[in-house]
Amino acid sequence: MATQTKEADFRTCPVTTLQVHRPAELLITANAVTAVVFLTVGGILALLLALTRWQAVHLLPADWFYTFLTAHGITMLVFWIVFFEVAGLYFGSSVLLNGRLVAPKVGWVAFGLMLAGALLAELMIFTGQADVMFTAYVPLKAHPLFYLGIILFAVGALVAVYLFFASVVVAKHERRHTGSLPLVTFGLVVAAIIAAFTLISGAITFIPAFFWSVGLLETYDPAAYRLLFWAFGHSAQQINLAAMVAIWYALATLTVGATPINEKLSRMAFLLYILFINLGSIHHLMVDPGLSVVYKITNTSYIMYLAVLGSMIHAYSIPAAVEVAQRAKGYSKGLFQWLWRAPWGEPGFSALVVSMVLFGFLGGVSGVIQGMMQLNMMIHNTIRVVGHFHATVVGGTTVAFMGLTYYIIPLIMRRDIISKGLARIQPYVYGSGLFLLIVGMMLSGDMGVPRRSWDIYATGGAFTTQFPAFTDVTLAMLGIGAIVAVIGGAMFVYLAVFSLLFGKDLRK
Amino acid sequence: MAQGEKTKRKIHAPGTLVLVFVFLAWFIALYVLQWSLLARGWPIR
Amino acid sequence: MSLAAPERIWWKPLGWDEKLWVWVSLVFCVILLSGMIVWHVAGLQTAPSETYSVSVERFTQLTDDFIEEYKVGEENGLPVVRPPAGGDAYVQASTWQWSPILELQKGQTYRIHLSSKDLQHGFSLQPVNYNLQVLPDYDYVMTLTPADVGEFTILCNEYCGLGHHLMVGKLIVTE
Ligand code: HEM
Ligand SMILES: [Cu+2]
Ligand SMILES: [Cu+2]
Repeated sequence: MATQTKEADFRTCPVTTLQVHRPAELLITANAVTAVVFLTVGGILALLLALTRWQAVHLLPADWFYTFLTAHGITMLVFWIVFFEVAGLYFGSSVLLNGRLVAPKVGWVAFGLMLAGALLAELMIFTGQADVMFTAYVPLKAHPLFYLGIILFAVGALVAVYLFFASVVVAKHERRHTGSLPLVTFGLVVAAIIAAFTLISGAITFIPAFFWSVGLLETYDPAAYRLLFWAFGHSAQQINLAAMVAIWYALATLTVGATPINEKLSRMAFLLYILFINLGSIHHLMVDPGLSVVYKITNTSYIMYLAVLGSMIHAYSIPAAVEVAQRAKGYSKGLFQWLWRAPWGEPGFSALVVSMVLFGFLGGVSGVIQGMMQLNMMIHNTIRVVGHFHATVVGGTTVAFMGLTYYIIPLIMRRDIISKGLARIQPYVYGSGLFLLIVGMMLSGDMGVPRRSWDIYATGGAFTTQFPAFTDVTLAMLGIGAIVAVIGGAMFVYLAVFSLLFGKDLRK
Repeated sequence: MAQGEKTKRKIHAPGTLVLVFVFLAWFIALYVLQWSLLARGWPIR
Repeated sequence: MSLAAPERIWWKPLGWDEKLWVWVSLVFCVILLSGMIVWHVAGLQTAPSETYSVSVERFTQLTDDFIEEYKVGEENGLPVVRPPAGGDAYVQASTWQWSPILELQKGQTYRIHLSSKDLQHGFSLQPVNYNLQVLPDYDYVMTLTPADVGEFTILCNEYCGLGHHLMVGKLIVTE
């Protein structure tokens, strides 16, 4: 491990004048490219699943559907998101701080562990030995190597988080960065703190599951598993939230030069996340046996919806920053000239808006509502839940990550985006497809349509079921929305991969 | 003092203030709708 | 600039529009919390929390005894059982059925015990749209008062293996 910073390891970014640490650059690229590969796999599966849930099409056979559903959930929610987040953490702790990644070798070890774990889990899933969904609720059992894969991945991610913290500390220690952390890095620190909690919970959940699957542990209490699992599973979503909000601030700065109107306010909002947000993980257990009402209400409400308060603050603070920056440029007529004259053709900006709108209006609102103890009775395990988290983690997080990628490629990977025209429309295509998909899922769920079901009519079961005729329409929305969203997703993958391989080399 | 008074009074982002209240109205509308749907359900405890 | 260090002193007072929004949000948060509490105390519909620990053998026994005592018929191989009004009823989930079929009386209140013989299952009463998690080793008691007459389906909405989508039961409500 090098203790001295070697200046030869750095290059100066000609656009931002930031000092870019080359070993960090390589790791950022490796993690981001791996993420996009998983996004591609998950996207193909998404289309097949959606065309099966659209019962008028009903594409896949039942066993494939459940296998692919497990694969889609894990590939997207864990592998795509976390690989990208690791890239983001390295970016925030080295490039943004003019610093170095303290131990690139450790970064490669983390990368190796994560990749090995991911491939092992995928192998078990695709060979049909782990049809347990990403939740893997005991006593439904998967092959031991499936649990081992997840554990390896979590350990790798934990190492990456450690590397992030070490790099932040060293950057300050070596005085490569002076003063308070940039807000974006601050947000990433919050994400990483939540990540440490999350990954440790993951280990506590899956290590016993591994022992149980090989027969060394006789029983694994299902309610205890659910409590532990969601300390991992939902906290992981809070990492995504914190990282996404950090990226929102980054995009606002990159696209219109926005400066947070009040750093104190924004930082306090992030602090509320650290203090309260993980309590909310319990909203998965609102209609579970074994928990008291007081426990349920206290936790699902984050004591007093204080984490929601944090999000409400960001919902104000980010558009306000954009507004102030735009007004300073002279777009100050009336209430909304700043908005009409915003750079709507800039994919980073449109991704920011699409992400905020889908996350806030659909994902956040539905999430708070369905997390309420009583209301959850009407929603638990219906496809409305799936609609909710496609609004948050796809409409919100994934779209924000895509928006940032349009800047990482030229700034870090030093390649020009190959088709600016395609990039200009991509966030809109993806976003509108998602809108249809999400609304279709939510409305179907409100009419009782279950999630994770190959055939909602139970053809061949003891009884058949009936749903309101309107579900034909909402399930068609789901299917059509998925087709459009997958086209938008494919546009992104094409832009990212082809820009990287064939884009104009900006180093020259 | 006068300076501080001024920054306190200033509206930084009037357009945004309108937008967030639209958001709040949407939030409240869905919240009320969902409870009213539950209120029509069978008594359960 | 959110990508670089902020100016040295960033602990500054909020503008009044920021203050307004924070206060409005905070009040809203309090309302959200109170809603749950008030409804739990005064509302008619709240999430069940009564739970007992029970072994699979014991719950199977309880269900079998219950079926034997109050059985009134059979449908598609499943017993139809009419528990006494105001009494206890048992429904056991197993891959891939809900047994027995309950026949309840409208307006009467029943304590319905839910548990699983094997995996986790999802109790989903349609079209009433009430959904509860059903676990092995836990006896989850829902105190329910049917308010409509008719036949209702109970489907499973927790993945429980290849036959998951076939797992459908029934609940009958009479006048
Ligand atoms: C074009 C984009 C996408 C489409 C059309 C899509 C579609 C779907 C569909 C149809 C399901 C099955 C719902 C069910 O039967 O219960 C599903 C499940 C899921 N999706 Fe997506 N999805 C997309 C992207 C993503 C992304 C980017 C993520 C994560 C970041 C994600 C995470 C999940 C998860 C976690 C599940 C639940 C799996 C389970 O129930 O175990 N999806 N998606
Ligand atoms: Cu089941
Ligand atoms: Cu099931």
